[in-house]
Amino acid sequence: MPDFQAPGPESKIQNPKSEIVCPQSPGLESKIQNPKPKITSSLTPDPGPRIPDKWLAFAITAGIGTVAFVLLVLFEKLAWWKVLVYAWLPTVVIVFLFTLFLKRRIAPFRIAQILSAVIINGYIVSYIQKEIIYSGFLKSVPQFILNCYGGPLAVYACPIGSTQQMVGMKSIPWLALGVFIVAGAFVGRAACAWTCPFGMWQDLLYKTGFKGQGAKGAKKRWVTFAVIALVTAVVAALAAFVVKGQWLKFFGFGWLPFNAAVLYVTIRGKFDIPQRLWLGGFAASLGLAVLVWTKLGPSFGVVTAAVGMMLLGLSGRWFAAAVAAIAAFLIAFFAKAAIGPLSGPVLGVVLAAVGFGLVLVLDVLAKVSLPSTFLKYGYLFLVAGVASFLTIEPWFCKLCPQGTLGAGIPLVLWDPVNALRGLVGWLYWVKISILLLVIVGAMAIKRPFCRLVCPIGAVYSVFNKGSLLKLTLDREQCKDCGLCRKVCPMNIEPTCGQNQLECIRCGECVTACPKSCLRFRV
Amino acid sequence: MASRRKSVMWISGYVLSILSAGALLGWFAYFIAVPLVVFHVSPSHINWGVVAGLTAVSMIVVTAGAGLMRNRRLVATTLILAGLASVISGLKSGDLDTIHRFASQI
Repeated sequence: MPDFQAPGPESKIQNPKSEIVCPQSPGLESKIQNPKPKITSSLTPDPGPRIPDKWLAFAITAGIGTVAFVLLVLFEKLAWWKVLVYAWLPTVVIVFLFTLFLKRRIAPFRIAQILSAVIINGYIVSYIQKEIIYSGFLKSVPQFILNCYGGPLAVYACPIGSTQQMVGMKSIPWLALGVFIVAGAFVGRAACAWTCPFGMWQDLLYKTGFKGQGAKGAKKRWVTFAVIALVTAVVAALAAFVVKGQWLKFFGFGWLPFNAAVLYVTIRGKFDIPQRLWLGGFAASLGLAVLVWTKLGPSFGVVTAAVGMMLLGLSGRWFAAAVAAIAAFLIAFFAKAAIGPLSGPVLGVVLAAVGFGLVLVLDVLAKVSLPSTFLKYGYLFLVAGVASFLTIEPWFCKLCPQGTLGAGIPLVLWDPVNALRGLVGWLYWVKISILLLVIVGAMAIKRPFCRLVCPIGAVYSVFNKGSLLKLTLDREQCKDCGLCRKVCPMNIEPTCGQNQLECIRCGECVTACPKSCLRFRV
Repeated sequence: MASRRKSVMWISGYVLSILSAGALLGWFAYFIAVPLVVFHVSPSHINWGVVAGLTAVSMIVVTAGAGLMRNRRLVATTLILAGLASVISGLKSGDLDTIHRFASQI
């Protein structure tokens, strides 16, 4: 008997052995629900010897991290005791405390994640040297993953930041492209799982206590909400104290909306992103962005495109149509726009009708949609590519939540030159809002930034189909127990395709499979 | 039908690979062999960054051909070669200095 049926008349790949229905990646269908297979088997994952003990992980991390620090300091010619006191000791203590709270066993890619986070953000010696950021030779070398080079701890250059700068200079970013191609050709998207600190933060945030079901789960969620509200209140108060005042901004525009979003997650519990990206909403957001760009300037235009693509592309078609119409009217009316003989409210009505009609034609009549994960290709091409090329500004960096976390917030709080706080403008608060949105999203959804936004993930994903490292499935052995899907940090179904665009090669499914059906091969 | 589609893709991939390999040889002839052998140009006057960049582009086209032939190892190998050529092109074109200039600013 089939234990799962995907609704809708959409195209499907039918697994002949099991009853799990896999969604086709790009399609013209109108609806695909999230095909979550029920776990029907009583098979349990065998931890096995492949998962190291957490203290072994701590030893490896601390050991290799120590070597990395020593190399960095030798390179910088610093006194060893300064490195010991200011760099080695705090790092090892942080990793030790981190290890205390981990489960007894830890997956290999977690060790690599922590190690990578320590190595690429290893410039703790900046506080010794009183340098704002590291500016040695390593800063000219692009790393594999997203990590802002403007951060006070950053050692290497961010590949997408470098690419945008070169694109803005109207030259081909050969070095960054080469790094992408070589890494992608060897291991596909594995860098996202094994080396990306921002991915690690999202994995950690997803472990916050919003998962429980029933009365016990609800109680646990409310306790988590109370703890988060309290901790964020303390953080907001400290931040307001450090930057002298601004209490209203920190609590009114930071703490309150953030905790309102957390409250939503508390009531609803964990959920997943919508499966489809509505091209009507996507097109409407781009149309609005062009309108805003021409009337209010490139900065407002790019922000409209970046935020609008997410909100309108993923929202329902009628909501998208209504928002597009209202926004088009307001922009045309208040920006005093004129197109030919049309101006004022008349132009507003015409544009609103055009926006509304565009969404309806694309979504309702043509029924055009794409997998929502295709949104990140839009960010790669439009925000990191076209906008950077036209304005000579690294627009993805300007809105990047990782940059806000790793560079924007620490630099403004630290402000060693007493000038950075004066540079804070409206765009800074937009960045903070995007970061808060990603944080709340990551509490409820598995890796939302990696799946929907990250342009580096978009680049690596296309290599999954042809990389040397590949994931294979032994269909004869597979019992379709669904454990691989359950543990997948990207919420994909490995039995429906072993080298999907979204697979980050973390190996969680390989470890979880009780029959060892899934294997990495070259 | 499936076998016919497969053979069409295989032939397309084969033709694409041959063409891009020919183009690759053409680049080398035009930018390296002819200047060195015919015009006795010093190797230091050859723009190695351009040569490497064109090599990278050609190898990516070869990759597309290999992809049509469904040969994963060939795809990965040509991609790695393309990536290395791209890295060499970047190093020769002064990308390190450019990136350093941007990455060392706040």
